[in-house]
Amino acid sequence: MARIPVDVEIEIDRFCNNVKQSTYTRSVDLALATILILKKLIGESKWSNASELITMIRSQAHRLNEGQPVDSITFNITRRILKIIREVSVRIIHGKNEGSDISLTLQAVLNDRATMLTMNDDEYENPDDNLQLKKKQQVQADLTESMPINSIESEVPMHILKPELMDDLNWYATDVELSVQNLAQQALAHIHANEIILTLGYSYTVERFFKYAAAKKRQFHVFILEHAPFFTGHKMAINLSQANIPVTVVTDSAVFAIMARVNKILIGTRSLLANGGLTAKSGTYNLALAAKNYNVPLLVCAPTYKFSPTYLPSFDPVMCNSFPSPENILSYESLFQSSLDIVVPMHDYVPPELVTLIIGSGMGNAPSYVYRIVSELYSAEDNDLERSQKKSSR
Amino acid sequence: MGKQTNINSDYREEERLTCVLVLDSFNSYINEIVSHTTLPLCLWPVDGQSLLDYTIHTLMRSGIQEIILLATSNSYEIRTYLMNSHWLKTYPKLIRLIPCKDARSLGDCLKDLEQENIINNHFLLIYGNGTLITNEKLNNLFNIHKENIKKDKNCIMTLVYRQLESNQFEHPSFTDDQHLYIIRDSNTHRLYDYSKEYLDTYEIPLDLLEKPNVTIETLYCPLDCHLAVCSTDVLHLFKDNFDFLTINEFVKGVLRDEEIAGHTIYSYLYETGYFLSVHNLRLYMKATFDILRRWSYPLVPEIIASMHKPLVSSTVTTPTSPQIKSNDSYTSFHNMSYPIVYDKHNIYKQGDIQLDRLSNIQKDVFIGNKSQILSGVCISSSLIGQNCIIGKNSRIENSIIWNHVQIGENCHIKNSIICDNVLIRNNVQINKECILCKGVIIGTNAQLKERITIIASNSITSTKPMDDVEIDEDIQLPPVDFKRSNSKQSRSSTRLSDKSLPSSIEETITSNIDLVGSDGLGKELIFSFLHEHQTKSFQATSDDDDDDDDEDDDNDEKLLNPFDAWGYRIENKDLSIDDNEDNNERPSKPFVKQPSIISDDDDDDDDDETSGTSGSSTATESHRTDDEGDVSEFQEEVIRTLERAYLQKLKKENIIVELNMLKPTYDVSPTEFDQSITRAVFLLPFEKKITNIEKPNYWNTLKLTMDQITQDILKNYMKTTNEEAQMTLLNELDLICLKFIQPIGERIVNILNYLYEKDVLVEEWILKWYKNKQEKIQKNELVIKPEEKIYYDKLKQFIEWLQNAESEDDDDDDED
Repeated sequence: MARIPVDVEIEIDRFCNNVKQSTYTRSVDLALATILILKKLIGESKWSNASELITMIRSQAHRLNEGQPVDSITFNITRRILKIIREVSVRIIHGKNEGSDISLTLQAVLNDRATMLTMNDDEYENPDDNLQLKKKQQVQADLTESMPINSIESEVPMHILKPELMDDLNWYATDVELSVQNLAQQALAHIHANEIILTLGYSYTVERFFKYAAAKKRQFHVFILEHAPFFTGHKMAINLSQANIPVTVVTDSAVFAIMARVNKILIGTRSLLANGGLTAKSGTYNLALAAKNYNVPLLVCAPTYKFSPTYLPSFDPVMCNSFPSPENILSYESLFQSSLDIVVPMHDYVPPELVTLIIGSGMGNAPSYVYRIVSELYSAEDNDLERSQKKSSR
Repeated sequence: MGKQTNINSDYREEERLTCVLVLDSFNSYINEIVSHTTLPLCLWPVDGQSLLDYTIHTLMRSGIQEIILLATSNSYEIRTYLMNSHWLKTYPKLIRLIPCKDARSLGDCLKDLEQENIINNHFLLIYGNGTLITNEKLNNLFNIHKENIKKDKNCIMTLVYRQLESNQFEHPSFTDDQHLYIIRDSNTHRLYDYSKEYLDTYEIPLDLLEKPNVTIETLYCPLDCHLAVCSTDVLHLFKDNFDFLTINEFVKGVLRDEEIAGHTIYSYLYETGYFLSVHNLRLYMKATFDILRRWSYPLVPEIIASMHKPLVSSTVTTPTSPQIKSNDSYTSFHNMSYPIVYDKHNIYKQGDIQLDRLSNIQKDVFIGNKSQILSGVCISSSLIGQNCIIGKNSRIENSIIWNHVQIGENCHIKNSIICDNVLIRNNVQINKECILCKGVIIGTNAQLKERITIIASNSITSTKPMDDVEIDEDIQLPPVDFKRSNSKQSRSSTRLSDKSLPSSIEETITSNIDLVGSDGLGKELIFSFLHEHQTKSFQATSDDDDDDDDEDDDNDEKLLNPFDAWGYRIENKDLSIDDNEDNNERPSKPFVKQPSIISDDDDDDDDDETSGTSGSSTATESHRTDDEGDVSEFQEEVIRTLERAYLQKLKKENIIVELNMLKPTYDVSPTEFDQSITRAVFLLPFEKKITNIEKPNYWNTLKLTMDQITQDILKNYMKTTNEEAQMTLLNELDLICLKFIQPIGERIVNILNYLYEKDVLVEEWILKWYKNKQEKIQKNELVIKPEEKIYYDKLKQFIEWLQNAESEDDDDDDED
């Protein structure tokens, strides 16, 4: 059985506490911290083969997510790392063939429930590789039938896996670190001259996106919804105006009124669900509906680690939400009876049909394509990470 | 993450941010209650965690790197708790516990801390109960304090408050013990005056207004965070000055000695953010509900919920060492983690719970792991602990229920705290602000009135090391209870018999029944400490006969604990009655039986008129009490005035003016006024300062006072031409005599004779009054009790003499 040394335990606890105390203001920081903690876990605990490692990480996944009960970033990162472990172990077994890597990804997809659909998609996407692919798939299919995936991984011993894995993890960490930058570099493709662009509240990614375009001498005007009652829009406005971008701050309630003037909407999101829906700042749903009404395109900046393979369990607004202090609305000093209820939701769910384009690290995608990206990013076995953990802990 | 740790480590080299928590409220009422719950107040559960845990989270958020806990008598429990918590493992160097077993006050604790010699920089001090819940980051307080020091080298302390709106008295987080008045410079925020006095007695030192370059600003009752940033000098000052027992005294002392020592104090006022310092039970409940309503976000249950052992359910296995072996402990404590699910209407469900389909969970409710809520149950704004069972059709409102509690069917529980392992049978009604301590059983159909604390009878011996406690005090509960004299009396009889300790167990079992029902277990808590404190306070007051020193005044107040466990101000009469029983023995019994009529004299207040603190107390009391209370307060005030007049030999004109002024203030009717004056005059000799201590003799003392002043007062108000006034005087005198047969009644002849001679009373009215009285007696409207006979005999004697004197007309006074 895999063992976790004390100092890693402590490290994990500290990480949880840091999350609870909202030390990480930006989601990138949180993502990087998660990678770091998982690297530590992999590097310093005792495990003999890959399958042990996977079980161990899975057992820790829920613990890492403590303190942010509705945020999925740690889960996404954990899933991605599990996927990397699986990939690396398969690569070790089947030789260092890059091609097999791709095919294996598809293999995972094949095992998924929506087998037929993906097949078609694949063929459509890579018509050139089609023949070669089909052959490989067959080989792989035979292979997996004879040997379940778990047993493949249990064959991979620690001393071979570890160095390779560490390389990959480092590569992944830099990838995450640069993801915002990569995303921002697409700015010129989306922001055209003299456009009026609407955004909501503060998002680090969106800020970088705008600044990149401004640095390339693109002329555009930004409307910012102030995002009451948190008013993060004010910070965004100040930051952007310092980069000499013309900015107008608008109250949230005026979103419908100004929509007619807007060419494009560009927002960040907290997470991106597998169906292409968003959980984003409260007020985004309003914004998206208004945009739909005026047929204004709604672009969403989402770095890869925000892609989540889960779906919204229900339309219950509580499930994907967090509720901060009512002080944002009503001052604590003022008197009121307990019969007064104050609800301050932080997030909104936006259904995929209202989203026009999702700008990932590599390129723009339609929301309907998200499930495909997700299935490449994560292996299907880990999709139930959240649920399984909750069950086992009860 | 990498960056984060680097920043932290840099910080650490620079200086460690330290916070000192003093984990004791030093309120003996609370400590008494707490001793029956087996958990110190700082470990009481709040929404799945202990109060202390929430505080530590607060401090962690603020980037505090060292937390020093000063624990007094409760240090064992706190140590055990810390050993089981995850904090020690996660942050081995974070928390340090210093037991100060003998500490009786904040001052003692800080002296102990000073001796440890570990503080060498500025530190945050959280006093009160050491439990502050806030969502603000406190680390910038250090910067503010440093700024203050930069501006003023003598600054040693920055006190922290949270602003409230102008109607702060109605604000739920304001309790009486936070009453405070601050005068500070509005620019520099330097403190110039600090007082707990009430407004009507408080005088702004006018010389402040003449200071150049100072703009005075007053803060009236800000929310006291019980938080201060201190320089190390603070500890030295506490060490050097033994009379600094509380922060209050410290601040006053420093401000007083400002010219000599040159130390200054600054203040800081938060205008946003949630702050609540939990130092009494009302605030404890308030904190629980505020957290449920998410005011303290991000310190809310589902975020804070961590993998460490849930507190109360843990049957404390003796901890072996703080360094617990990682592997097995990990699995055990991970299993202990119960995720908390947040649902709409602020409902929190921890782990596995059984909720009946027909139950009605309204809003702001926390339900602990493995609890069962049966059908028809209605819960609103409550905390239900782990493993609780709530029976059918029960209603629970605004209550806190700890773990392993069983509640029967059709119960109704309002605003109460129910501790571990309590069993409540069917159809029980529990009213506001009751506390059921560990192991109590409430029988079927029992009804608990407001503000009763019930303890399991055996827990006294098992949980609390009792030091020669003598349970003979009748009054243990705050004023509300006081008025229900009926139920009180029935209990008081049993309690008096508790004196004999061997028989006490039987007594408690019999006393159970009317309180907790025949199938219940438990008795009402009696605050044993009152006894101790009285003797002290008595000494204190008898020492400082006539001085106007604020300091002494405070001492008395503190020792007597002017605030009860719920943070209400305790009206002075309660304590005064105890004092009487103890110290002057004589007029004890009647006082208890008819509390409303008699004047209450009070050690606490003796020197108040001059120093001014207690006028304040009466002022607040008048908020709360009804007319009856007003009258007795008024009378109290009259007694004070007369006493002062006597001691300071004031002129009668001045006194009369003063009494006239009092009349509208207390809104008393003319008859009540006359009654009060009479009573005051005749009860005045009971005042300790007036009584000749060596040989207390009522008559001599009365004569002295009469000679000097009071006869004039009576003459002034009870004019001989006014029949009504004269009758009032006689009736009152009669009542007082009947009440105090022993010192007064037997002297009726002397008194009446004296009054007659001095022309306060005219024989016409005396005879008429006597006639009326005789008629009543004949009609059996008045029953003469055997012990009262002596009084009537004497009275008759006097009347006969009077009649004779009238007929003979030339007779001399030969009685004396």
